[in-house]
Amino acid sequence: MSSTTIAKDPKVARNEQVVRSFIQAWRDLDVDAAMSHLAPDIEYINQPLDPIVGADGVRKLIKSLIDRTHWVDWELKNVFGSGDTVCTERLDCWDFDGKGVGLRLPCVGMFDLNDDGKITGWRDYFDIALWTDNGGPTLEL
Amino acid sequence: MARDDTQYTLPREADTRNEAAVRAFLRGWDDQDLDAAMAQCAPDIVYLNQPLPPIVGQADVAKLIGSLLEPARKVQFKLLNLFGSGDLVVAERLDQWDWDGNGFTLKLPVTGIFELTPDGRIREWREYYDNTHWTRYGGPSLEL
Repeated sequence: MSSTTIAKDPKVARNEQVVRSFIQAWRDLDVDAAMSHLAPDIEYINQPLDPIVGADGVRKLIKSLIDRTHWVDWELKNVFGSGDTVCTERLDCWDFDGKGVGLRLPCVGMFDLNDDGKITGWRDYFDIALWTDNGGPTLEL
Repeated sequence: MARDDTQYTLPREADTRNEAAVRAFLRGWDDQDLDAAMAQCAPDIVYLNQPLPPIVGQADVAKLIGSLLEPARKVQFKLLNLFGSGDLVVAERLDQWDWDGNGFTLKLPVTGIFELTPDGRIREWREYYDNTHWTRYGGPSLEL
């Protein structure tokens, strides 16, 4: 095997940075900042629930979650991309009531980005029961 | 190990080799060939179905995988995304299971994160999916 190394694809690096900024917006509980990274035709899927399509519906859901959140950190275990897709392996830590982190949710989010660096697809994979049994609000509109 | 440096470089050959190992592992499931799947795993493999307890070591992991493949009539893992970075590979999939000859009644959206050893064996496999969806459509126990 050759020991050649290659610089990271600039588009992949950019896409990873966009996804990190999107996740930072959740930490900041800033709906507008989060939405600024999404394409108008964004499709958001909490697997295996029905997708939410379009910026209006997605804003509504994101706002409903952030409104019910006192503090949140999405701890990033791994972030890496390829082509138009970025994988985030996370531990999402939620404090819904100001009494401390009541939910630690192991989660993978897959993000697809367009050429402009906006997120067009966001698919989160996690155990829905773990979410709902520990204070997670509804994920449907 | 967290991977926060956006500037790091990576050996492309290792990615390709690791991706091939994960593809071969997943093909073992499609072929319902336990030995072929296990051939891609390190002796100290850790298999984690989030949020269930981890299963550690070749013997127990083979036992669990065997207990899933044995009752299945047909298995087909549809690959939506598969790519590597460093010692990691992600496989975003739709796992399709036919338990009774009536077609794929369980279609499980799932993403697996694989960590590989320097010699290209899977040493950790973390699966992210909705466990209720798995059990509701006939998935057997994922605990030993």
